[in-house]
Amino acid sequence: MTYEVIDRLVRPANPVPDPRMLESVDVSVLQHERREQMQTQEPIQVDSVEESSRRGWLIGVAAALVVVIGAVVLFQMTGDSEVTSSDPAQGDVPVEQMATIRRLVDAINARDAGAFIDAFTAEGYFNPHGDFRESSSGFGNHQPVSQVSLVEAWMAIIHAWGLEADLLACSILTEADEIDGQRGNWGWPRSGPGASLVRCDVATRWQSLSLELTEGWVYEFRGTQLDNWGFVLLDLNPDERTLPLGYDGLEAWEAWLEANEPLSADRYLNPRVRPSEVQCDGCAEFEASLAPNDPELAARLGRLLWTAEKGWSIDGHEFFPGGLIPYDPAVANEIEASIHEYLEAK
Amino acid sequence: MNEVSSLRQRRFEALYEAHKLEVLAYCTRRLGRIDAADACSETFLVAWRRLDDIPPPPKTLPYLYGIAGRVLSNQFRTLRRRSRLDAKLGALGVPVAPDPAVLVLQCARDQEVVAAVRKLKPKDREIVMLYAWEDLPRETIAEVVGMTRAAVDQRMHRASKRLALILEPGAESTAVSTPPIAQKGGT
Repeated sequence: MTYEVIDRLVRPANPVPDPRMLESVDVSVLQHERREQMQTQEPIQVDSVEESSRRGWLIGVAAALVVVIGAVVLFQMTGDSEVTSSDPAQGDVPVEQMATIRRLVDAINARDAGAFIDAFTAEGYFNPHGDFRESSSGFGNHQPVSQVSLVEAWMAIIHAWGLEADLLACSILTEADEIDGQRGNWGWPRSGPGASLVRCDVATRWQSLSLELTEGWVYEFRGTQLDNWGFVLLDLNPDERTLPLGYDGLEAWEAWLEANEPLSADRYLNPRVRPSEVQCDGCAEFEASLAPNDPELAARLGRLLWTAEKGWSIDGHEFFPGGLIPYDPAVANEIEASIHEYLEAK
Repeated sequence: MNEVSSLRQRRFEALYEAHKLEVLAYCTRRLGRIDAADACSETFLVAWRRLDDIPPPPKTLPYLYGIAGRVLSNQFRTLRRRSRLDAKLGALGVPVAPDPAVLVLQCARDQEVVAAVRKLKPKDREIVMLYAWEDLPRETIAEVVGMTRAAVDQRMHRASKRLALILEPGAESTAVSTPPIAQKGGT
């Protein structure tokens, strides 16, 4: 039935059954535009497959604290920047780049998939970074960011957890910052020469989990073009926060739930699975390096590297959550109630 | 440097000449004649920048379709915004241009079919179009849309059922008579 229906109904409705029909279309506009653009556009250097794999590994390793929603783009600034140099978060970041940064934050807070995608153009989909990885944390698939249904599905997840991002401060990362791993950028790899990195400290409030973290959202620019966006975790337990729990608190809730409501724990929690060395070459060493003098802390941080046992599907997209927030968003309301119960009992 | 540039330029020219009509047709099928030229142009601009990544035949054209598909994603969003603007302008009594996609549709039945195809989920729609209009084999479709062959088959099956339901009343009884256990399959 499958092909018979399509062959019989759809195939004959082809608006252009033969491309030669279009030979009469004036392509001089295309020629002219192409030549104009070609004279002004330098070809963009794209990394080799090997480099891509290496970066994929690097990002994978950094996934302990890094979540990547990669998408390489040609971001054409449209002006209309509402950001001024008096913006307290702006720091030394150029106004144009700051406008882009704010656009993405606003799109995420508004769950506006269209605005989110609009920050990225078609250019991005073929860069080695151009994967939009599916997971609760935006990590783990190989779909392009252009898919609005995928972005919407991802936004449904962050909506279930009530994510609210609050820009605190932004600054340009120097090469020295990258080399020595200072300022929490965890050696974020540049995609090539000429790229510049901006890192913004962001308070991320996961309202449904009563959880507040401080993250570093890293934006990779090439001039005014946004190449990449991702984030690192800067502080799992920020001292100054508006929500009751840091990550220590969330772990404590998990322990409380397992001890007091094992049946609920079975439903709500999602066991984290340590990747084998085959899957993640060098992960063990990286895990240990997270806290060289504190193996227990390193092991706790390492859990954020792991994948979760159970995934889920939204609108046909499969999600494979990472270790940071592995819970199924379908039970977000129940988890929220459970955490409130825990907070009252504490 | 000049020699390299010249080689690059010639390679691009050959690519452009070999595939411009197919890419233009791809864009026209999805966007209509008016906007297709822009989309085609943008597709080749991306191709120019990514020239070193473009695979040799027979994968060249599917790769270009992949670029064009993503270019069109952006164009569709622009068109949706324009439609919203048109609606506002219409409410103010300002005349607006007709939907350009309509211009390429020749007969009522085709319009009906295309309307039904448009009701499919975006990825299902693209798979159906690549199969029926670009005439790509399913293995190649899987590469273009970044799925497995099995996933493509599954989506084709789902799309065909949906199309049959919309376009052929007789198909409805077939779907309804499907045993419940079969309807749950795969979920």
